[in-house]
Amino acid sequence: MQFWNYLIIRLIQAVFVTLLVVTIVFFVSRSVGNPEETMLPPLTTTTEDKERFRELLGLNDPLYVQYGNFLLDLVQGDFGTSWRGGGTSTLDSIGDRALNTLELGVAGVVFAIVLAVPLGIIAALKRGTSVDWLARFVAVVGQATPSFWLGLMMIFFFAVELGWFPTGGAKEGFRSLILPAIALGLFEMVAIMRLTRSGMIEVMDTDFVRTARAKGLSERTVIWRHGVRHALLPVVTMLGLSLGRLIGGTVIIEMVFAWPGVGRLIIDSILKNDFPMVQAAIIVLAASIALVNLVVDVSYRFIDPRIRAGAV
Amino acid sequence: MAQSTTATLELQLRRRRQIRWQRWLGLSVPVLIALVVIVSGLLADVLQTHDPEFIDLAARLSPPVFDGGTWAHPLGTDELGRDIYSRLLHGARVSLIVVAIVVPGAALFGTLIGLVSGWAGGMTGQILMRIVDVQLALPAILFAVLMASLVGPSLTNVIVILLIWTWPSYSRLVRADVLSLRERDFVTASRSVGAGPWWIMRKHLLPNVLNTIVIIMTLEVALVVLAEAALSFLSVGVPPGTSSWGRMISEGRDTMNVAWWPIWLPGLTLLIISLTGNLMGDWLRDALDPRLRNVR
Repeated sequence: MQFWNYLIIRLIQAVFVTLLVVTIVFFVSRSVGNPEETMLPPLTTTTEDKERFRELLGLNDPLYVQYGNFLLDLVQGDFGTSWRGGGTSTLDSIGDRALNTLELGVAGVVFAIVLAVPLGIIAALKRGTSVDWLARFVAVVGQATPSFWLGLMMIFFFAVELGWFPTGGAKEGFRSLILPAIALGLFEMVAIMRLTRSGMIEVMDTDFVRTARAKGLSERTVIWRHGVRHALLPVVTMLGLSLGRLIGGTVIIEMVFAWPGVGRLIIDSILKNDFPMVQAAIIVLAASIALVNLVVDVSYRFIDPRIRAGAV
Repeated sequence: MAQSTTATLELQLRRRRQIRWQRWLGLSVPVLIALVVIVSGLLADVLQTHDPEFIDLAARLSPPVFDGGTWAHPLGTDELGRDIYSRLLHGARVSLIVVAIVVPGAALFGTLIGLVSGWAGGMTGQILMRIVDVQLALPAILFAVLMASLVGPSLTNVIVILLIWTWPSYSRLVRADVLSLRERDFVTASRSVGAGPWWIMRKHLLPNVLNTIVIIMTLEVALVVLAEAALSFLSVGVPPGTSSWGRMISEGRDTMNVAWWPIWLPGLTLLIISLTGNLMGDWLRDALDPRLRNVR
């Protein structure tokens, strides 16, 4: 029962956070943007046209009326209609884009984990050897490399010079996913690897690992059942933060690799003053970040019983 | 007997001296690089060989001196013939200004919020922490694009965005520290003799979280430099006509396959600077507070 209470409270918090983000975007964009200046042809448009345009979009209503209408539509599942492209529903255009961003984000996380966890474990077990040094070198340099610069360099070497991968876009399926996923995931990979390494070193030094060895368990059992399982606990927490950061980080990677995701959609829509599209896309983005954080917090309670015993 | 003891002692002393020497070397290289950056940022006008924005199409894409170029342009020129060495200097100045305002500003604000929310607890603490959540759910880059499209790209914009972007990391750690400090004896004792909340924050809490704050500040330097570059790269950072490393990378993109230097030199500069920041932060953290080793 206590669990359900906790879940409901967290859900309400997630909705609240999303709503607040959208509210900020709503008011900031409307208080300064002038859609009739950017969306109508500049020379042939008369003042009456501009007035009709504003009236049509409801921009002449007071701000709080606009905001009220927006919220009313939202609770009815209507995320608004794009002001461009012949009045398509914003949610339709976001659907595909969101899937692309999700694909990129998941690929980034998978790349990070698959490389980071084994490397971290090996580096910890073979502390002080060349493997450890290599891992630490990769960590220090990787953490300092700007992701957009790395992306450009990879495009230059692997796409332009060697021709192994496409230079951008998402048309070639898996092949076009590899470079952006690496550029996106490198920073998180380094963070996860450092965490795995230090966690592993700490755990292998504890009494219960010594006991396990004294009991005569095989080294493999000691490492996997006693060591890795404990070392990975903080990694799971970290993963939640990583996912949130990755979703934000996709924006710049999407720009570098011309990846058709939500981030680029938002930037394009902001530049064209397409407010409904910006709002809807940011709702989707903020809600998914809030949801990811929620899932991580909840799953952590299952993995680590000590947290379940404590208070919320 | 006595002699051999002296000998081992001397050996130990020598080894200890050697370790200390290595440790200082590990710190002095980053400090030296940081000094070079600060000096070149401050004295950019004196050290420059050309006006960083002067366009000289006759000299466009001339290579750096170690790749067959001349001393007229020591690090070569970009696709508009602008001198890369002078542009790097002025880029250092932009980064310096941003770091000098954003890092202390975010530290001040974040610490204040962290102190208050940790000490007050309950409703106030919850509300303040939800604000942190909001900031986490709003990708800062999107906010930067929004602001740039509304009021035009500017240095002020970059600074405001980065302040919004970075303060929560201070708040969270300070709050965590305060939550455990407030139950400690010296704090409860102070309370029981009637100390007010501000007095306790100033005299008991702040001195105890100062280490944490200084360490995060050092580690944030690299983050802020990279973030400024990312914003300028997306052309929502510093306005056109200002030298910034991120902007230089974005401009060098078009000539990437005929000239390596316009994109490699600012990229490498960025890498070295953020490497320096991280190394100094790590060193400081190990020296002051090993507990924080897993922060990032």
